[in-house]
Amino acid sequence: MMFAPLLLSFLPAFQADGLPTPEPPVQHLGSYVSTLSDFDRPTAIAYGPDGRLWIHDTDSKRLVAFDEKGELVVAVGWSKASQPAGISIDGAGHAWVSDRWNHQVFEVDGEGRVLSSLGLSPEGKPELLGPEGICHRGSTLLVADRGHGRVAEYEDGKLVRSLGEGLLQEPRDVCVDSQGRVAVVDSGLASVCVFDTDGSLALRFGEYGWFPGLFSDPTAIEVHGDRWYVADCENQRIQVFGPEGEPLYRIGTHAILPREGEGKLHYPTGLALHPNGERLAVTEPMDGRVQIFGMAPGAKPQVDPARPESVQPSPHYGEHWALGGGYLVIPEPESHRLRIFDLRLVPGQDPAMISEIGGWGASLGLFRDPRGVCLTPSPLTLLVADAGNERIVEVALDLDPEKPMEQTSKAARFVRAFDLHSWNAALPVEQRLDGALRPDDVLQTPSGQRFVLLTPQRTILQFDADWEPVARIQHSREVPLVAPSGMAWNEATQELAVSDLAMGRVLVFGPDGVVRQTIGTENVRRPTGLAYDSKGTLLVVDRWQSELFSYAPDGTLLDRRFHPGIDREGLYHPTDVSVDSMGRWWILDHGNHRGMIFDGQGAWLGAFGSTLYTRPARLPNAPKSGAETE
Amino acid sequence: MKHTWLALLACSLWLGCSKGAAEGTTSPSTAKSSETGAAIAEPQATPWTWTASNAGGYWCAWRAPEGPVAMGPSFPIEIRLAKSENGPPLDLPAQALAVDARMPEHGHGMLQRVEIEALEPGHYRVVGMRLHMLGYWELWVDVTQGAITERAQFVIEL
Repeated sequence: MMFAPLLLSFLPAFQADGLPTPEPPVQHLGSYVSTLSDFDRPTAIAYGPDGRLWIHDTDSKRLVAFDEKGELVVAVGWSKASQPAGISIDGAGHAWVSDRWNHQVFEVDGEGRVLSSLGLSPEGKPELLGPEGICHRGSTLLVADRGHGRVAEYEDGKLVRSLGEGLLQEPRDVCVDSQGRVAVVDSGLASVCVFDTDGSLALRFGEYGWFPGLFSDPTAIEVHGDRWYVADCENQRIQVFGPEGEPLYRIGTHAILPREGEGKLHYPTGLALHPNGERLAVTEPMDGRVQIFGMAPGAKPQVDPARPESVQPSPHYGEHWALGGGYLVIPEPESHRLRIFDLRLVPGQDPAMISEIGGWGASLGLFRDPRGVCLTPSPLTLLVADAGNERIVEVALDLDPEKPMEQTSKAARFVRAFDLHSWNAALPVEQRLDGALRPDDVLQTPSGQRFVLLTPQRTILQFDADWEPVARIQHSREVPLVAPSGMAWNEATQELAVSDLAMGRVLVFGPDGVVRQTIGTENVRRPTGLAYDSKGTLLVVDRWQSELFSYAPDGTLLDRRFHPGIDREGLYHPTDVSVDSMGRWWILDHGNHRGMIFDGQGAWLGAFGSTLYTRPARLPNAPKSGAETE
Repeated sequence: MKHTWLALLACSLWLGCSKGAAEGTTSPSTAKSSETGAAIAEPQATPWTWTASNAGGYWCAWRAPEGPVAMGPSFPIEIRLAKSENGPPLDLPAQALAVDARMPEHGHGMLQRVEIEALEPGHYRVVGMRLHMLGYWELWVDVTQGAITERAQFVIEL
C-alpha cells in the first residue's frame, strides 16, 4: 500500500471517458511568422501591455503601432526625436521614446503629442548621454544611459538612482524579470548583467566571441519567465538563455543573400517580446524591416557551447574608410580588424587586399570598436578612431606604391595611442567633456593637424601632431551641431566640412572655427561621408536617399546621382566617399557590403566586396552609365 | 700554425668585444663566468639590444638573462628604458609598462600574461614570457605617460 503513490506516478493520467489525457504539445519560441517591411531604419520597438506592437521608424520620422492582427492602428509623423533607440509603453498606453542624439526620453501619446520629457536636471543640465533601451518597472522608468555607462532610474520624472556605475561600459538595453531584477545588455562588456533589487550584481553571463553563449555587439534584451532573449547583432542571431545564463538555442540564421529574410537575420538590433511570451519582434534597421517569430512545435533545441554553430561570422565593411597614398583601409565591425588594399587596379579585378591588422582587444595593436580611419602619405600613416577603447591609434605602414605589390603581415608598426579618457580626466573640471569619449571619426591634414569627432558630445576636438589640444568646435545655440558624423578637409581653403546627420546639412568651418557655409539644407536628409575633389567640389553621400550630391565651392548644388538599389547605379545606405589622385570617386556602399568606383563624371568603373552584392553591378545587362573597364 | 690559431683567436675576441661595444651591449654573466672559471654552467644572458621607440619618444632595450630564447618554456626578460640614446634612465613605475609578444603572420599573441617588476630606475624584470610556436615574433614594449602610450618593438625569430 505504501508504494501506491509511487506506482500511480508512473501511470498515465486518464480522462473521464477512460482515454489517456493527451500531453500538451511541446513548443518553443523561434519559428518565423511574418515580416513588416518598407520601413526607413526602424530602430526602436516594443509591445504594449495590450499587445500592440509599436515601432519608431527613424529616417521617415514616423511612430506607428500595429494591433494583434497586424493592422496599422497608429501612424503619426513625429520629428521631435532624431535618433530613437528605445521605446516602452506605459499602463496609460503612452509611448516613451529615448533619443540618442537629443539625450532625452520623450513621453508621447497616440496622436504624436509630446506629454513630457526626461533627461534634464532641474537646473537644465543634461543627465543622459546617448540613451538607448528603456523599460518600465511599475512607476519607474529604467534607461540604458550608454554614454555614462550606467542604468538611470527615473521616478516621477526625477533621476532617483543609478545602477552598474563602474561596471557597465556601453549599456544598450534593459529589461526587468518577474522578480523585479534589472537585466542590462552591454556591448562594451559583451555581457548581460543582472542586478538585484538592491542594486547588487546577481548574475553576469557572456563575453566576446561567436560560439553559443558569446556575443559580438549585443544590442537588445527581453525576458519572459525563465528565458532571456538577446539580440546578438554582429553574430546575426537571437540567443535564448536559461535562468542562470546557460545558452539554450538560437533564433534566426545569418542572411547571406541581399535582402534575404523569412527567418534569416541581418544585423538584428532591437527586440520586443509580446506580454504572453509567445511572439518576438526583431528590428533590422539596415534592411528596413521587422520580422516576427512565434511558437514552433518541438522541444527547445539544445546547443553545445563547446562547438561553434558556424565559423567566425563573415566580415562586412564598417561605415568609414580611408583612402590615401595609393592604399585603402576599411575597418570590419565583426572581426575588429582593418583590411588594407592596394589600389593599383588591374582592369576587371578588385583592389588587392595585401594586409590585415588588429583583432578584438584592449592592448595597443588590437581594437574594440574601430570606426573612423584616416590615411596620410609621406610617410604613410594610418589613424584609427577606436571607440571601444576611447582612443586614437597611430600606425606607421611600411608600404611603397613604387615597389611590386605583395601581401604582407608585417606592414603595420603601431606607433602610439592617444587615450581620450585620460586626456579628458586631466583637464580642469570646467573644460571636461561629459561621459565616455568614443571617437566616431578622425582626420589628419597635410600639415599634421588632427580632428577627432565625438558624436554624442556634439564636439570636434583639434590637436597638433603631438596631441596637444589646439581648439574645439562644439554645438551651440547659434550653430546647432546635433549629430556630427563625417569630416572632410579642404587644403586649398583650410576649411573643415562636417556633416550633421540630425540636421540634414553640412557645415563648413574656417580656421577660426567660425561657420563659413551651410550646405545641403534643401537637398540632403541624412548626410554621412564627405570628400573634396581637387577642384574644391564637395561630394556628400546621403544614407537615407542613397544618393551622391556634389556642391560647387560656393555651395550651389551641381549634381545628384544614383538611386536606391543594387545595380551599378544603385546604392543602399552609403556611408562614406573618397576621391583618389586620379579624380575617381570611391563610394562605400555600406548597405550593399561593397565599394563602388566611378570616374569623376559618375561613370561606373568597378565594384568590390561581397561577391553576392557586387555581382548585380557586374552583370552585362546592368544599366550602363558610361565607360567601363571590364 | 700555432701562431696562426692564436692570432685568429685573439682577432675573434677583439671583434666580439668591438661588436658588443658598437651595439651598446654588455654581457655581465659572461664576465662572471670568465672570472670564476669556464666549468660553471651559469646562464648566459643575451646582450642588451637597444632601439628607439616607434615615435622616438624614448629608447628601450631588452635581454634574456637566462640565455637565448627558445620555443616552449616560460622565460624572463629584462627591459631598460632611457630618455634618449645613451641618455639617463626613464624612471617610471612598473604599471606604466605593458609587455607582450605577437605573431603578426598568425594574428595571435602569447597564451599567458606577464608580470612586470621594477628593479631600479628604468630597469624592469618581466616574468612569464612564453613563445609557443616557431616563427616570427614581435616583442612589444608599451610605455604609457599621461594620455600617450608609445611602443618600442623588437623582432625575435625562433
